[in-house]
Amino acid sequence: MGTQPDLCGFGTVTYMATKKVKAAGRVLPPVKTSRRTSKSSKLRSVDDLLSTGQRRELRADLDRMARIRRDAEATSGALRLS
Amino acid sequence: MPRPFIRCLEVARAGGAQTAVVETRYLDQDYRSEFSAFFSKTFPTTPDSTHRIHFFKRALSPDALWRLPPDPAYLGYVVIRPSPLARVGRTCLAVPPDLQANVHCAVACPVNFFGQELVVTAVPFAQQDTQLGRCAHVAAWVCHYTASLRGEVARRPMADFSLMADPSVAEGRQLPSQGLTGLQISNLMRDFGLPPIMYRMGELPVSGQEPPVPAHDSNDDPGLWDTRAIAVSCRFLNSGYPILVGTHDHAFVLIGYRRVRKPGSRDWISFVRHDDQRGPYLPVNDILNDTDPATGYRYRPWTLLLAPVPGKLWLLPEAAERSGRAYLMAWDSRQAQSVLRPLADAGRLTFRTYAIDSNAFKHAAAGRNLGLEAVREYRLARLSRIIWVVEAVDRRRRQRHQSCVLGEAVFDSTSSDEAPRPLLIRSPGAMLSVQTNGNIREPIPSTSRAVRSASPIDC
Repeated sequence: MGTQPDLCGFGTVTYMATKKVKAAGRVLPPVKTSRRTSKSSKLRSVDDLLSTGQRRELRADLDRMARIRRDAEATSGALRLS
Repeated sequence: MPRPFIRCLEVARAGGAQTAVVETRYLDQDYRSEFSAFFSKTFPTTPDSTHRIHFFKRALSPDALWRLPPDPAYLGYVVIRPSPLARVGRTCLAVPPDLQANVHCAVACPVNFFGQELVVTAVPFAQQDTQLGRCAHVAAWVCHYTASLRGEVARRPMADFSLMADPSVAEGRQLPSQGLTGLQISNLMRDFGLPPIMYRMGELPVSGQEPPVPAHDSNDDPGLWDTRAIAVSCRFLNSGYPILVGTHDHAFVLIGYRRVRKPGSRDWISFVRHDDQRGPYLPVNDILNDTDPATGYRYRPWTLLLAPVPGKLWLLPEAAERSGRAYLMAWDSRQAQSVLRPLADAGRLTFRTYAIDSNAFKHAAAGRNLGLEAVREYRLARLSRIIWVVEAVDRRRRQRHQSCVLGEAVFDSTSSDEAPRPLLIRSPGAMLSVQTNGNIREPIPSTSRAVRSASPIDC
């Protein structure tokens, strides 16, 4: 009759290893925010680059492309190439 | 002599071939699969082996064949099937010198020549045998074998493209074959690890920088007016992926393109194709009026484009390009001095899109003079295995064969067509990096000068 290996400590070991890695510091240095121009404020999302109108146009174009793709894949199957 | 074989000899001659070596009773893996699946079952006796003809640019003597000189200038080979209907089997011939800059899908094809390892850079070609495999099978095989030589998929012998096509989704007999439908090709390529992106002429997506299509009636065949196929094809060819083109009754493979300058007008794009019925490395001068210049054969209008791509390439290149243009222009306008907008207003700005392994993209960063911080940011960024890159290109510098890339937007290839996910955006002078936890690192300084592309394919 054997005993089950004690895995209870495994999660703790992993957690401590992760903390050590984080404590070692990042390789990439912080960004110098003083480089931001007077035209810009901090970006929270890439979409912040676009105006509301630009976002709307982009969204409409992307929706159209996705629909074209679905239609092409649904209707192209019957063409025979020989 | 059949036209494909004549064309193979033309290609070898164009490469400067001085010596042809005929290797008899060669056991070719692709022909052996065809023999097993078909020729062994026919009434006439057909040999189970082939001949293979090798071409060299150097003049070689017979006693040099087993000990070649250090640089034998190998030009490739043609496998000759014993079948009178279709002599040209698997073929890897070096790209003709006048097309070297225009064939984007060439790969390294290793060859063992009597115990000596040789390599030829070529796009594989073959002729259909007309019974087991038709043009569609061979076109699919060209796309697949090219990918297998790049290490992206496991190799499949030629007969698999006939035997493993699902007969239940099309009418007609599997043998002798009457060709493949678009659905059969799509299923086949998906099963073989290269699920294709399908495009139908007349309903092609645009990124917004394509010229308007010519005026036409609503009943006109789209193959006679849909010039959007040019941009669609170029994006995949920029990435080294061949394009399978279907007309009403035939299939062939686009393997490259050439940009021809027309002063006062947009550049004219002509393509290079492999046509199993006419030979390798043939020009396509006008996709709307497609005629083979050597024979005068008039192709029927194009109907379908299939781009077999790696399984993790989910995002449409058109969606990446549309988003990339918007983000690049917007990011550029945030800088102290906008560079892209004045160029766009002067008609000098264009965008070029290609897919690349992110590791190769990172590797290329150091040699592009991006600036130390930008290179560090690129190399330490977490990127998807394959990325779409949308480059902002100065047309005038490109025409002068100078470094012409002013900026780029990098996209996750696993993101959705409806929400392409940018990972890096760089315009002249500054870049930003989108980290996987959602944080954005910006602004990071980068060069404001034009640099060369990260793509190994020069367009």
